[in-house]
Amino acid sequence: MPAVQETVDRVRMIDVDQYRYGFETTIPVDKAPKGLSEDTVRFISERKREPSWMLEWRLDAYRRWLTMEEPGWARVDYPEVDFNAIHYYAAPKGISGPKSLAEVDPEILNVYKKLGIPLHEQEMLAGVKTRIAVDAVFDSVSVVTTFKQELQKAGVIFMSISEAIREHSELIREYLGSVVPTSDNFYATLNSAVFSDGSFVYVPPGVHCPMELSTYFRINERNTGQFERTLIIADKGASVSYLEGCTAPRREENQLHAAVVELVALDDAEIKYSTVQNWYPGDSEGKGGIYNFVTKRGDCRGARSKISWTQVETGSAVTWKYPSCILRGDESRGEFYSIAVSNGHQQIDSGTKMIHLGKNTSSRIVSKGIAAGFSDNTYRGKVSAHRRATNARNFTQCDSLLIGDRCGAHTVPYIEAKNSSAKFEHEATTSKISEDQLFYCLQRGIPEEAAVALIVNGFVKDVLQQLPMEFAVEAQKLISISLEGSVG
Amino acid sequence: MLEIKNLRARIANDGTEIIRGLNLTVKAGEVAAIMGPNGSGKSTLSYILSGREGYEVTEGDVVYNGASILHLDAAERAVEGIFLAFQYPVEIPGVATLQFLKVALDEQRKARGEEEMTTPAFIHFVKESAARLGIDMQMLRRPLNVGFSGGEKKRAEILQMALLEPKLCVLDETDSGLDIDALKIVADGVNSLRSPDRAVVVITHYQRLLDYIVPDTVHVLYKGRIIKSGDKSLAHQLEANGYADVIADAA
Amino acid sequence: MNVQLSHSAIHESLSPLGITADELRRLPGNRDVQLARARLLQDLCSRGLPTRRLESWHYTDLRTRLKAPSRPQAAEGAGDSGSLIPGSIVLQVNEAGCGMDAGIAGLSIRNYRHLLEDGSAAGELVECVADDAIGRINGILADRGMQIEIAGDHRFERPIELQVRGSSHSRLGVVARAGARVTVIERHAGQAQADGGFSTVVSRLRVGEGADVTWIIVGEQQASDSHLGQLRFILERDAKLRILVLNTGGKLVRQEVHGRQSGEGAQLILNGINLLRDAGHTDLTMTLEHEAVGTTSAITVRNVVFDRASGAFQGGIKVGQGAQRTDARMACNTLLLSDDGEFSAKPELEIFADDVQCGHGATIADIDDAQIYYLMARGIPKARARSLLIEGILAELLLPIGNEQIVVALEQIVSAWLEAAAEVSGG
Repeated sequence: MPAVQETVDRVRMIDVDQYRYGFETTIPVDKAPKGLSEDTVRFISERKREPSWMLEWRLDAYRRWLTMEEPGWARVDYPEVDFNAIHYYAAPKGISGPKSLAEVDPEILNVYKKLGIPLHEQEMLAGVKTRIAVDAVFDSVSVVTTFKQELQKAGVIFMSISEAIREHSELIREYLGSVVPTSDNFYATLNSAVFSDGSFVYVPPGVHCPMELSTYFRINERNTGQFERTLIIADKGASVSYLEGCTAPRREENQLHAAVVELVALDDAEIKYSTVQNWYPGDSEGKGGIYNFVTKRGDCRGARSKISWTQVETGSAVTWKYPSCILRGDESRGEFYSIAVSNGHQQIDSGTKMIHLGKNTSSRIVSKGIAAGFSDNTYRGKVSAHRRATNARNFTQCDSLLIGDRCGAHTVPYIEAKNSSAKFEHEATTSKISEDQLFYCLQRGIPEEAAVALIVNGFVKDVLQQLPMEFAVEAQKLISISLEGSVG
Repeated sequence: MLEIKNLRARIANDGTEIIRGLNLTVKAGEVAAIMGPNGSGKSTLSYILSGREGYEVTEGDVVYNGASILHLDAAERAVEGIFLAFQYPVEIPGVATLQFLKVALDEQRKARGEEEMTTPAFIHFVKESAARLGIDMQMLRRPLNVGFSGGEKKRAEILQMALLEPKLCVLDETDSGLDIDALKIVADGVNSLRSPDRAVVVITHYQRLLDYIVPDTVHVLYKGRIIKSGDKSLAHQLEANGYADVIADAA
Repeated sequence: MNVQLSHSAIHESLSPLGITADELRRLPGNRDVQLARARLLQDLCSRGLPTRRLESWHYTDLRTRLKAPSRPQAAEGAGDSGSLIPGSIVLQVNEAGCGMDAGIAGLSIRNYRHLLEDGSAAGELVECVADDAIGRINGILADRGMQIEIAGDHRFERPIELQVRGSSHSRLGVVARAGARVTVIERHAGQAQADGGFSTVVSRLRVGEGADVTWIIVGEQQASDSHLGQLRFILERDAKLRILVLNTGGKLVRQEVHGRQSGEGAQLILNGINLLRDAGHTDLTMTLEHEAVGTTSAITVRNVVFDRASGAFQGGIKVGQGAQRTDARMACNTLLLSDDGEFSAKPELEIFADDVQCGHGATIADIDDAQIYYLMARGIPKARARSLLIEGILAELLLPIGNEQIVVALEQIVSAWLEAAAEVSGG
């Protein structure tokens, strides 16, 4: 496996604190004052030049949010978040929406360059890399969206959600909040009130999106929350593959990230959503890091539709995230493939929900959790079959690997059936890297850390295979880096 | 005894037609071999004869001892004397083999209006038959087919055949997974059941089994139809030249 | 009582339990016991009965489901219903505590009523896990029971059968000293009562070093009965415990098992059979903590659901930091045989030690068609084939009991139940 040698080299190159995206960039910004009130909501809506119905929608969510309580059931523990100590809007000065590359502050472009995110279409066209269209979101605004014209030719709409609210209000009004209602949960409701930017994708009937779409999120500003909102619609017979990446500077204080992602697949449509989540996880003492409280849900609204989530979770101090599928259409299919790596003092409570409503629906869950250091890593997943969901099928495989004896790996499945034709199978295992495997590698001259990387890569292979190739290689490196320092 | 008339059948779920106008007659006392390449419909034929759910007969008929059996379910056909020796006998945890044999025997007798066998008589009966097949009674105390080796499973099938005394025996790829010694034991078991009022249909891919269970007739099944019939020399011909010639002739 | 509660609050908390404040005051117990009861009552008043919002009660909302009859019929004087198998040491749990002067060597029995009266029971009238509503309710209401001790190295061939009947609230305690060996059958039988009975039992078991205990809970409630049961156990070094829980239904049944494997090398086998029919609700909830090195557990729960019945299994295995070389297995298999029925399973693992082998599996499905076909091809009619397969699936769980007579007796309960269920639901 050549990637492993690369991994080892990469591990050598980085410093003790492994997070390599922790740099900070000084860019003049336009910020909302700290705190949350109706005025904050109005401020955001105004900056985004939104129509009045959108403002009402936000205010309605805000008022609802005031009556809600933070959920306490997840296996995570963090000090209370002071929602009034956060800036809910921060945008690089002079940018209120995406511009052409030439107009973007070179300092920002430099950030993305350092992160390895390709924004120059020409470079990509010239290079060997697969072409990927990118929407780059910097703090609260989308700064640039690439390949827009080319996508337009295929009829695909790919733009920041702020633009979409202005330009495609009919689609937004129909679909926004139709999968994750504004009243869904504490964080989703908060997001509905204050979401800043994110991506919007619409693939018209019968169109297979000609390239991978991608959004890259970067939190840069101090004391800023990021509340992005993504909406992807695949119309009848359409298909699209979408990638999401994210990083943040290394900071001592915690930062809040509360995103909402909604996917809608109509008849025979297919959406593949991949995430490599690499928010700053905090330092080795557990100080700082991102609170990642995310609601992601796909609605297989049409018959024979398919939604597939793949996630590689290596970052964030606290993760609370359950990308789910509502299998409403007959014969629809949902998939969830996950790798969650926790090290240091990270806490992950993540998993999925597969809600079988239509007839002959099927779902598959493959979750690989790896806990090291002092971290806690929980898989929480629900599979349910509604009374009318005849022939619902689910298969769940959920494996945990522990590295060291100061961490915890937990599995909390909820399996609920109300139909005798349902067939659910769930398997879970927890183990450690066996002494035999390790010794075998050592005996063949592979150093311990590389051996662990090798074995872990084998452990997560099923899931890595689900990622688009470019991402798979990156994810493999990331996992090894995240586990750096976990042995010995 | 068995008459299959222009039979057409498909998989109920997806409508795939497997049997496409099959004709076959097997007389009492006859051993008929059905041979064919993979995917020709051999196993499907055994399922349709024994009444497995999930297959639809769209045309034709299966007449057994003068009456159509298509309206009967699997259990009713078994009671009528149709026995299928499975290619892959199902494992049933928790149900001891002996218990299963007793229930099957009792139910069949009850359905025919016969007396149930007393437990001592039953045990005696099983012991005798098991000994002939080289089956240890200890094995019969284990759950049905669970942890049985390939050979043990096939021998247990033949034991059931001996105990249930069927009129029409259908052997589906009984030779698969057997070494030569096990094959001989199984063949001996089948041969000892040959009688003028019993018919045997041997479904097989290879002619090897037919060296031990010598057939009266050999039929070649291809794409859901019998494309050629003959005596045992046909089996040798197939062994030597493969199916290609026969298929080419039929086309 | 120095705890201040308003009359209306007390009334509101007690009415679902079918008892008045006056009746509560008359329950046996010295001042310490009364104080312990008052503390539990205060918890009940402030938190109310658990609802589905509480994680551990998510599938059994006690607040909406529990409605005890206001005038429970006393279960006294009911005739001996006979023991599960002949030759057992039968102990009836009733108010008077009669039938306890067994006078058998190696067996000492104390009337729990006396322990309430002299206050020695006060210390254990406490909750044993978070949101322990059963411990709380039973602690408030318990008025009978017994405390049994099996002397060290005493091996009992005859099982001890503890019979609990009708609407009653009992505490049972068993201590098996080092090297002892015993089989205990805890048998709950409901009593036909027009508005349904309500009973609770909390049992505590300590298995001493190298001791070997088989604990069988047989719950045979009537269709209108509500029953809350709890078994708390602790295993010392090299102790062996086999638990079998057999529930045959009732309007509302929740059986909890909470265990700790505190001694090195302790071994647990826990098998559960839940038979659900009519409109009943059955919940088996289990928590197990592996605390010591080299402990093993094998948990298998199988459920059969007919009619409009609903059920849940919650299993929580926790492996503590020091519990290296734990081997913990958990499986929950459900046969959901009716489209009106429902079942939920939550097999949970919480692991803090890295040198462990832990796994769980859960399936919900109907009976395998291939198996039914195989049996039918041998002449067994479909309905019989189904029941044979179900019995087979359940019979496997009875095997660890070892005692052939008990296995046969339990098999009979299972097949009689299946026959009745199949008749009503038409196969």
